[in-house]
Parts: sequence; C-alpha cells; structure tokens
Amino acid sequence: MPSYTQEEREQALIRLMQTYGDSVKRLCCMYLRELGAAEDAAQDTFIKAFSHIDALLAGDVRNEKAWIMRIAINTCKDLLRSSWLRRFDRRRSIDELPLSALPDHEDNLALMQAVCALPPNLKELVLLHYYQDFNLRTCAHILGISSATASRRLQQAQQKLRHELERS
Amino acid sequence: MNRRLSSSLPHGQKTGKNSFLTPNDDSLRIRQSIEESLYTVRFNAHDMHAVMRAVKTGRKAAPSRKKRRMIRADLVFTLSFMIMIALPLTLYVIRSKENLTTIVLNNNPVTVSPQPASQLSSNTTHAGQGVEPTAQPEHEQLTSASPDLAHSEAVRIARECFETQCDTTIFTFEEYTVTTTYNDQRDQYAVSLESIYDNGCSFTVILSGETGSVIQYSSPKLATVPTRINNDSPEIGAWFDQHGKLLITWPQDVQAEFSRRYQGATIRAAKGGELTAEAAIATVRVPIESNAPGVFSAYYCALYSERASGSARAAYQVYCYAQEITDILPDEEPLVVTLDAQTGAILSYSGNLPESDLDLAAVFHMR
Repeated sequence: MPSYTQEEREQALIRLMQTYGDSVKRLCCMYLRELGAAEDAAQDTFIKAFSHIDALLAGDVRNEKAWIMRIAINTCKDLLRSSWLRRFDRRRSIDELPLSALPDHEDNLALMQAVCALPPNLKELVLLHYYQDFNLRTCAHILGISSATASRRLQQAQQKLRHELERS
Repeated sequence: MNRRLSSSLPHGQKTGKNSFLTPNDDSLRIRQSIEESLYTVRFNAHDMHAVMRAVKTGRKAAPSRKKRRMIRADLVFTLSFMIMIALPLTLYVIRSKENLTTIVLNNNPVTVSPQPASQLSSNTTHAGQGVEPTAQPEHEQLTSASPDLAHSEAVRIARECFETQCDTTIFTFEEYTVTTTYNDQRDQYAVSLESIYDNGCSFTVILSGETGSVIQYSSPKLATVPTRINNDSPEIGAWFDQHGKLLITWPQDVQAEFSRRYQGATIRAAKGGELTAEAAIATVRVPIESNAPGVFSAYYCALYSERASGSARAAYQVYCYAQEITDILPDEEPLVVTLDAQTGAILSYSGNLPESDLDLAAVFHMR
C-alpha cells in the first residue's frame, strides 16, 4: 500500500467529515437517544476512520458511505455497552430529547417515538435502510449479518412499528 | 430512494418515479419524521475541531469492549435440543406449509399485493414548461380514463399549494423539477417537486383528478431542508475549488448562497437592521485587541440564521485565529464568539486566549 503524507490523510478526513458528518451525527443521535453521547460517538467515528484512512485513500474501500456508517454503528454499540450509558436512563420520552425541531404532525411524532423505542438490532436496520437509504444487501453487509436475517429483521421492525402506531 | 424502499414495503405497496407515491408510505414517513426532528443536529465546527485535535495529538477513540463469548453449549445439550424441540418444530412447520399450499391450490389465489396503478406521467424541469403527458407502455388502457383536470392545471394547483405552505424565501418553485403522475384507479394526481440542486429537498402534493382539490401534501419543512449533500458532485466541487475548502473563509454572500442551496439556509446574509459581517468582526476584534494585542490576527465569521438554531434570533459566530487559515484547520482551537445579529451583544464564547490569563468575560463586559 502506498504511503500518504499526514496532510493528505487530514484532507481526506476533512472531506469525510464534510460529506458524512451530519448523517453520522444524526444516526448516532437516533441510535443513542442522547445528544451528548451522539456527539462523542460521531467524533469517535471519524477518529476511528482516520486510523484506517490509508485504505480509503488507496481505493480499497468500495462503498465509502457504507464504510463510515459501519464504523458509526459499531461505535454506538460500543458506547451502549459502556458502563456510563447503561446507567443513563434512556427510557425518556422524545420530548426530552435535545431536538430543537420536533415533527409537526402528531403521526410523525408517534412514528419517531416508535422508531426510537425499537430494540437496537431492529432500529439500526430501520435507520440504515429507511433513513440512510441503503439497500438490504448493503445493510446486511454493514451490520455483518446475512441478507435473509436483515430481511427478517426489517419485517419484524415493520410489524413492531405498525403495532406501536396502532396502539398510539 | 423510493425505488429502493419499494422492495421491502409491506402489503405490496410500491413506490418509485413512475408509481403513485403518497405521503402515507411508511418509508417516506419514517424519513420525514427523522428529518424533521434532526435537521438542526449537525456535525459542526466544534466537532470537526475536536476530531482534528484528537487526530493531531494521536488520541485514540474510546476503546471498544471486547464481546463476551457465549458459553458454548456442550454436544449432549445440542443433540438433546435438536431431538426434543428443533426437529418436531421443523416437521410441524413443513406440515403446516403443505396444508397452506393445498388451500391455495384448491381456491382462487388471493392477491396479496395490488397491481400497480395505471399512470400517466409527465416531467417538467421548470414550472410552466410542461412536456405533453406520455402514457407509460404498460398502462395503455388509460385512454379510457382520462382525468377531468389537465396536467398543467394540476401543476398550477400544486404550485399554489407549495407557495402557500412552503418557505419560498429559500427556494422558489422554479428551483424544483416537477414530476406529475396520474393514478386513474384513484383519480388522483401526484405532483412531486424535487430540488434542482440534488440536495434531497422535495414536496409532494396529492390532488383530486376530478375537482382539483388538494387531498394531501408532504411536510413543507422537507421542501427546504436538504437531506443529502453530495460533496463529490462536480457542482459542489466547483464551489470548494473556487472559494477554498473552509466555508467560514468564504465571502458572506457566497456562504449564504451555498448554504441556501445545500445546507437549508442555516447561514444567510445580513438583512437591513442587522450588523454587517465587518461590524460583527469589529465588535469582537476591538475589545480583544485592546486587551490582548497580537494574540489573534485573523477573524472570520458566519451569520447563522434562525433556522440554524431553531430559535427566533439570528447570530453571528466570529472565529478568531492566530494566523490566517487557508485549506486546513490549524491545530489550536479558535476563540469562537457568538453575538446577536441585531444588537451586536455578545451571547457566548468558547475557547480561551492562549498564553494569557485574561478574563474574557471582562473583556466582553459579560456577567
């Protein structure tokens, strides 16, 4: 693999942050339901990405967005497993989330709450597929699961969302 | 996006350019609700600085915990599980499926997913320049069910709806590509507007083909809030090539125009009655240079609009650096001062004066 200068690496990182920064932070925000933790996770995502930036510069990364989202998801998972976040009460209602613009429509608010309330393994799939616009195969690749499992989980998520929405 | 979503929508709902997209689609609703909620959550300059600082100082990300390996079940347990539970269950499932197949074979098959609706579609790049509607090859039966409402009239009504509901100070109707789709089964038009800047901004209006009344429209917020930015696109690349890699170093009007097109107008130009960029910088520079001369020599600013903070006030952020910055952010964190765009009052600041114990609160006459 060719070696790159620090400046080239930093340029690549800045480009990554400018391109995917918002998406990564929003994904982390939805996943962790806490803005402070999401900020940490988003920053850690890019710090981790920098340690593998040579592979990106060398063109070894086929799908850049999938690559960065995979790092983000894994970072969120690590954070969820960490002792601090486990002590943090995440059963808060969406109104308490540090979101400055809640959905206009009540339906959308209910949907947002339902997505937030999904178990992590279903939520990550919903976020990747519906929000980040990845197809199921790419989602499966990002999450390290088979396409069949991804498909099954998506169905489960849809059922749960429907159930939650009907209930609300 | 919708094409991809269609594969997994339940009940056989299909979406796509040529299909009938309603705002009720699960995928659209999920995207809308998330976008509406999180559009102010941005990876901002503070985040970028934190990352760059960590990278330059060689700090590692928080170490990930290793997964605990599950205790492997022994062979005897696995075999007993297979014999007692898994095998009977599998047989039961196979048996049930056979029964189901028989039922379907003996009766008329039930249509699980509805046939795609017949459609007429037309595309316009700008309002009023409509192309004559062209029937899709697979929907030739449409000739017998033409709508009472003309396509151009549908577009006109959708435009009215857009101009009533959406913030036209950000994008005008002419800045969208218009796609009109007619569903003869429901006798409804779907007029979809997609931003010409490839930023994901869209607005969809569903209206009756008979009366022309608006049945439903998508969230107006999403018409002006970009959901994606493709920095690799030649168009955006040209902005960075021309003005440099760091947005805060750009001229104010260029920042504002770029932000309007690609960032949801979170940065804007100053209006009448508001401080100019030069005045905002002077408000910060004068007290700093009189109290701590020579510490900062380069000042940049951006006027963050009401949309950026979700509040009713716009605010300048003035970034103070020791040296001029070009394409790369320097190691040291800048002093960032936020001030009210109208009064020039200092609202907050972050960072400190390097090699100085000056109290910034005193410098800015803040409590």
